[in-house]
Amino acid sequence: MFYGGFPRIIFSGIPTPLAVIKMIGSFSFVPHFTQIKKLSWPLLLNIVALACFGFAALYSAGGMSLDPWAGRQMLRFVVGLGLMTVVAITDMRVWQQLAYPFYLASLVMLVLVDAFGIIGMGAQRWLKLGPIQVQPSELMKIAIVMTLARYFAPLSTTEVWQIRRLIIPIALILAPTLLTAAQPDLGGALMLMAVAGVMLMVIGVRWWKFGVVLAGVAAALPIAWFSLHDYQKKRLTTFLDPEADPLGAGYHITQSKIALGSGGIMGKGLGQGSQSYLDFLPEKHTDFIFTMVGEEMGLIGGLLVLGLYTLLSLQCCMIGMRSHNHYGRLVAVGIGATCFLYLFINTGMVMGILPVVGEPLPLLSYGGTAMLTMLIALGMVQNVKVYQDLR
Amino acid sequence: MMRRLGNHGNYAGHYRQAGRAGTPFQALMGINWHRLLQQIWRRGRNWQLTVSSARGTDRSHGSAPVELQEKLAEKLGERVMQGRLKFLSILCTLAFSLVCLRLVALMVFTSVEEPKAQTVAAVVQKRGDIVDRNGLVLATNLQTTSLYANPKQIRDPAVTASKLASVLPQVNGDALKKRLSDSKGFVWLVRHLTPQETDAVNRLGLPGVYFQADWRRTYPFGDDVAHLVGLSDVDNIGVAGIEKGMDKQLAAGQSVQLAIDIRLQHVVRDELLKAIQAYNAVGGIGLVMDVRNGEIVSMVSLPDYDPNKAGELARMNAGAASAAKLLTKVANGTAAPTPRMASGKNAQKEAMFNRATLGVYEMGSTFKLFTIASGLESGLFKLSDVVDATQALRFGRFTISDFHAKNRWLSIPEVLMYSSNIGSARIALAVGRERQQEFFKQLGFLAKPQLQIPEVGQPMTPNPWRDINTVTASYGHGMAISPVQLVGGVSALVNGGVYHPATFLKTDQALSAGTQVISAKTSAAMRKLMYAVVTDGTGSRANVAGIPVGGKTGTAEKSMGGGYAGHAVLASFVAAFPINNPQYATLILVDEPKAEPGRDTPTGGMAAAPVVHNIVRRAAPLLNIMPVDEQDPLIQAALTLPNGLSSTPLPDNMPNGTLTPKAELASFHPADDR
Repeated sequence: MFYGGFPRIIFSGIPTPLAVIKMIGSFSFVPHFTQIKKLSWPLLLNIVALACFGFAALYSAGGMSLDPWAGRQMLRFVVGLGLMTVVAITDMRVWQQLAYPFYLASLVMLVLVDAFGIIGMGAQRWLKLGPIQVQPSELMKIAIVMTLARYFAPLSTTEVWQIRRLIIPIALILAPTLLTAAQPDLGGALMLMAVAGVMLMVIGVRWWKFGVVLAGVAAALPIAWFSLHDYQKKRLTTFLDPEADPLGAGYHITQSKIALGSGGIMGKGLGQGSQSYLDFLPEKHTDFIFTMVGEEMGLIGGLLVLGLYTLLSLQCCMIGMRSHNHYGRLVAVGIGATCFLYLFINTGMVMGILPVVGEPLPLLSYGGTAMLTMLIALGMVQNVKVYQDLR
Repeated sequence: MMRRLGNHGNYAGHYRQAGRAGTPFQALMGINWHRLLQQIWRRGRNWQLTVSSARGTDRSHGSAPVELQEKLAEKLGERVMQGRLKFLSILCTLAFSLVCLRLVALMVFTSVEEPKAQTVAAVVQKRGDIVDRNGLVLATNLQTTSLYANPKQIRDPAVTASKLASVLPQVNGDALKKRLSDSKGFVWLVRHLTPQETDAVNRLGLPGVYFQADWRRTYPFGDDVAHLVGLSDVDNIGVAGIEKGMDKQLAAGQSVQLAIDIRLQHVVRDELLKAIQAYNAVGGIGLVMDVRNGEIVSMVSLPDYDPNKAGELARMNAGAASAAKLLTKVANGTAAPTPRMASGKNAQKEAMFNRATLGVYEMGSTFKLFTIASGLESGLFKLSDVVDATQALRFGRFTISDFHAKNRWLSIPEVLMYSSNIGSARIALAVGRERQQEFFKQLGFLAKPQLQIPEVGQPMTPNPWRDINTVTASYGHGMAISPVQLVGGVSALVNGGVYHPATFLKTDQALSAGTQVISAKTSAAMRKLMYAVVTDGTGSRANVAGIPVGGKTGTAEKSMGGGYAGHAVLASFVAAFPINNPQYATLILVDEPKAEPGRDTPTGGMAAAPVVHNIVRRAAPLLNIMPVDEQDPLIQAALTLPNGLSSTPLPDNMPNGTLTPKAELASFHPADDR
């Protein structure tokens, strides 16, 4: 029934301008603004609520001013919401078809960032594309979800059980993971692995295969340890005992804990957090924004952010489960898992449960790529919701 | 339409159409990547065959209708996925609970104190005090505040540096900025702030900048005891004087009591300074030793410095370093024993140089005391003996002559009083090289003295020691010792013949065990001779009414660049008082006193003896020395030479024998001392 209007021309690979025009012209719905009413409004509300927590924290971190961070973050959010809507109301099969090109583009950018990237904090993570700086490892987290969904969607469960069906996806996972690890961005690499692992798990790869991989990883751990950079090793050892070097490697985590501890139940109020306000905490506006929230908005604020974020992830999964389309189902669940992993890794890091790996908390943390990528990803989830009846 | 998971039939169809794109570029663009990846795996086999063969592996459903197969596959997929999602949701619930519990634990159940200004970065040990013999504090600690920073916490080094520089005029903003940009986690910014400065910095409220309670060394008597007490650096580590020599005890917090009497020290420095100004001298040395135990109760070396002036510390350190370098050179014999560093431009280095212990000098005529003492002690000479000074003494290529030659035989007291080089030489030659060396060794002239300060000079002694060296050493040339060694030797001559090594520390016992170097009888004779020098000879200006003083003048030409400079002399006077019962020996040395226009170069009797006079006069009350009646028969018996000088039997062959010694003495002038 839906395929009746599906275009004759399928866009695989890099779309030429001509192809784009043809695509826009041939899809039956573009722009299907009537689809807007099918968006998941609770999801949208949750997104806005989380972003508002971010704005408040950034406003406070900037010294009760929109100036350095909050204003730009709001602008990006508005742009991101627009992108999300466009993504959401575009025919899902377009995104399905663009999954491999998107993946390929992200991979190329990862290679480029290794070669010509901007060096920041000792690692090459940013790529300058004209006026904007892009962090390809952030894009790749979405690309890997889409690509795996794209690859596995047509396969039946029994096909998924075949080992040979796993060879290409494993290559698709390993290539960006290694490139990301080479930047070096250990957190990003582990995150990619985790997202891909969750995808494979949802898809139905058999348990014993995970067991084999885990055993392999356990065996390779000693080797991996020696290939880590000194600062990465230090982060891991610091994680085990942050008080050993409170002014050096353990500084972030010690200060973060002090800030959280001083927040109490109700928090100190915006702009009142001495720790964050007095610059004790580097990266307070990016990776450590949860500390700001905790200190100034207290336990209530912290739990609210945790709850809303978990709800976000839950909403994604629910949308996925309601979808009649296997691709959509995998994408939504994958993105939901990504959300939850972001939350767990970031807050775990801030609270000293996990080593400091430098992952942001998207929607709250200051940073263009993370914010836009997350909104586009959530746009994909909205897209799944909008096209949930597509079979 | 097919309604199963894994439906991809349509795409293949579309691919076939898209694949027919006209140009190669369009063909490239139109590649169905998904299909390509699958075909790579399948090695070109038709994908539908693969699907059917995959289905074919599922034997149990092999014959089932297609619709049923699809239904079963869909059911299987959903069942598996739900199972996996259940597993994942359990994992996520656990993770969420962990994070939430951790957050609650951190925020509610941890009592975290507000970060305070970190006042303790490292414990700075409080250094021990240095006190004088009466317990007056010569060096102690002042509580200060030092400023340090953690550069990692400094957002903008330039702003921080300029703010600090605005309230602390003594700091250099650029240097501060450089230090604040360091990659280290700790840098000192400014040491030892005053309370006002601390308050001003505190008001700036700079993040990353911290205070540290600190101790700063302070010297209440300043330059009075500069060379003795020395100084310690900004980290309270001794760099000179007692501060360095006894750094271990002081750093451990132990106090050190010195033998020095700060009242006497002030008197000595004051009088020496006056003499230096009066004669426009380049420097001066004043030493007072307790002859009973070797305690140095006063030591002054001029010029000196104020150890409290921290701003000049760096330059002082440079001076100390070069002084140490010079010492090495002196020890190696590559530099003149008397460092010539005056003349203004090296004033700072000069000020750091402790002449009293580190400088070694050819002492000149004061050495004749030792020559005569060794002669008397050897038994070869009695006070009444005479020696031939009729003509200059030729010795190899050297000719030893007297400055004011008497050209006759001289009695032993006359040798000292006329300061006869010929007489000294003859006595030394009679005593012999070995006995002279042995005597010098016993008096500690041949080895570096063991003192509590590091600035100690290595004496320069003749090597090889030939007879000519014995001759020159007899009147204090050809060997150089430090002033502290000289005063130690003189103490042994007057105190009954016991040598006590010099010490800066207060000793408990009244008389430390010393080494008997000459007999009490010889010592008594030396006292008489030295008293005669003051009452009737070159040292008359040292005479103090009521306090008998005995001494010997010395006017040594300074050796420079291998020769002697006639106009540059060391004018010295070594004395003991009260000479009837000696308690203290003193040495005053004026370096290069300048002559007034039209006058001769000042001698020891002119420049140094009056200093001793003033010191004894002012210090006697401090030192509990009671005035005596010098005409008292007992004192006369102790101090006058047997039968006076007129009793000296003159040999028959003595030329110009018509002059009686008394008459000669009357014509003697202090300026003749050479």
